[in-house]
Amino acid sequence: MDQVFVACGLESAAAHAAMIEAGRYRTAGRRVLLVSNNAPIPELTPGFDEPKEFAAIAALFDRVVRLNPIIEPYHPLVWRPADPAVWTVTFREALGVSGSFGLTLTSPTEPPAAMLVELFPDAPVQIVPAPSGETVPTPPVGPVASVLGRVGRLRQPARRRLRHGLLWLRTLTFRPD
Amino acid sequence: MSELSVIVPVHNAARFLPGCLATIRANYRDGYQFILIDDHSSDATPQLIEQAQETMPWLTVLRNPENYGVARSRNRALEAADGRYLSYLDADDWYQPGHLDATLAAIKRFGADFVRTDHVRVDGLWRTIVEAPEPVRDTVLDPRRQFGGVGRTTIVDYPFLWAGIYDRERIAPELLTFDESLRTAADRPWFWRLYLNTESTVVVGLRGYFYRKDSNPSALTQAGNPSTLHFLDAYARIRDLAVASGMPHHVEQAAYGACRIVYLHLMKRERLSRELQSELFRRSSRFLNSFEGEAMSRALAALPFRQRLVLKRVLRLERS
Repeated sequence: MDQVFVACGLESAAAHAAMIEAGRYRTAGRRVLLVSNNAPIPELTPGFDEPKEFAAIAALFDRVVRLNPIIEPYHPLVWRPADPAVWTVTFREALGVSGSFGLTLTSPTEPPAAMLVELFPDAPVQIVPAPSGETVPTPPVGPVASVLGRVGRLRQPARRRLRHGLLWLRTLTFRPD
Repeated sequence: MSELSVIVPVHNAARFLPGCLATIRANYRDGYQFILIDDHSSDATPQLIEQAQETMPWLTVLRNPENYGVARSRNRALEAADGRYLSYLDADDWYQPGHLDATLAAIKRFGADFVRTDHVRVDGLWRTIVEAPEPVRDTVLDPRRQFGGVGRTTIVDYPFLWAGIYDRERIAPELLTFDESLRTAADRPWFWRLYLNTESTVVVGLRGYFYRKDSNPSALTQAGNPSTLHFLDAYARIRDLAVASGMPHHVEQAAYGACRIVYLHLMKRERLSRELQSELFRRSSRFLNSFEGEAMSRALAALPFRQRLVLKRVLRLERS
């Protein structure tokens, strides 16, 4: 099964990368990293995936896709899919996933990840908390209850270290059975 | 000689200038001239522009010796513009990267006098796509046929200067200057005159201009003051253009637009002092009565019942 990772900053991207390096997604099909630029004016703010150093993280994924051009001209923090049927197709095409796939997020209730959870109700959701305050200052949106219904077994927290030894990450995974 | 000149009027815009300069930098190409005209700002604007010049030596920078207002500032910048094509940018707005290239390519492809685009209205994080009110796209149109008469809003009344690009080789220079006696809404009669005196225009579906609605101090949503009433001067200019055109349906459309804007200001009169409110009623009445009776009746007939009722009472105030 393909796996889509959603990252809104370098830290969540690194957290996903650490999980992959730790071998958590060895059995996954395609690994797609969806990056979102949540700056107040994304058009004027370089994305965190732009510096060439990001290549080390990008290399762990089969594909890196930017969210902003997909939902242009709307802002990722307030965008809502008006017509889910259309958007499901758009996202599948942009992400390059066809069959069922899993979602790995740092938070299931914060946009824009919450919107993907809503768009793909059948996708199993895994949560990797970002290592530090990367969370966005918006109230939780989206189907909290339905996400909780999709959470299966709680994994023990594990410590993993990023390749360059700079960042310690606490990872917590929810997996459906 | 540049290919494209973009005029950026700036007044006490220090808060927005870093973003403005970033969008200019991102859209700059060889052959593009960006003219920043500082209308005698009293905040950090001059210093910010000076700093920017170190890394962007190609910026054309003008500073007014006193506060000229936006119309005169644009006219002064126009004298410094050496591009064949002309466009505008407001200091608090920004482009999608590549927007200027696409707009320039559009006017070159169609070879029209001017090209108009859609845009995105920004309110905080919220964005709304605003389409130019013309369903016919990517087709050369006769500007003089874009006046729709009463009952509908047409592209002539889409008063966004920056949602467009203008060919200075095809448009007479005097059509591009602004009426300096107007302190607000000078763009509205500017567009009327442009549409009345040019030969070709095209509307394209580009929407890479982000217009920050929440920061416009002259907007109707903002607090009222004595200059709020200056909108009447701009609409009087439109009336004069319509009358001079000799076309009855232009006069009707001008009357219709006048009714709508007067009604809008009346509905928002609470933001004005009592004296200004009665001034608004008196001057609005005098203004609406200045239209020829037949045109005004047709305009009124096209309005919703409630608006018609209110405006008829306003008309009675100063009927001679």
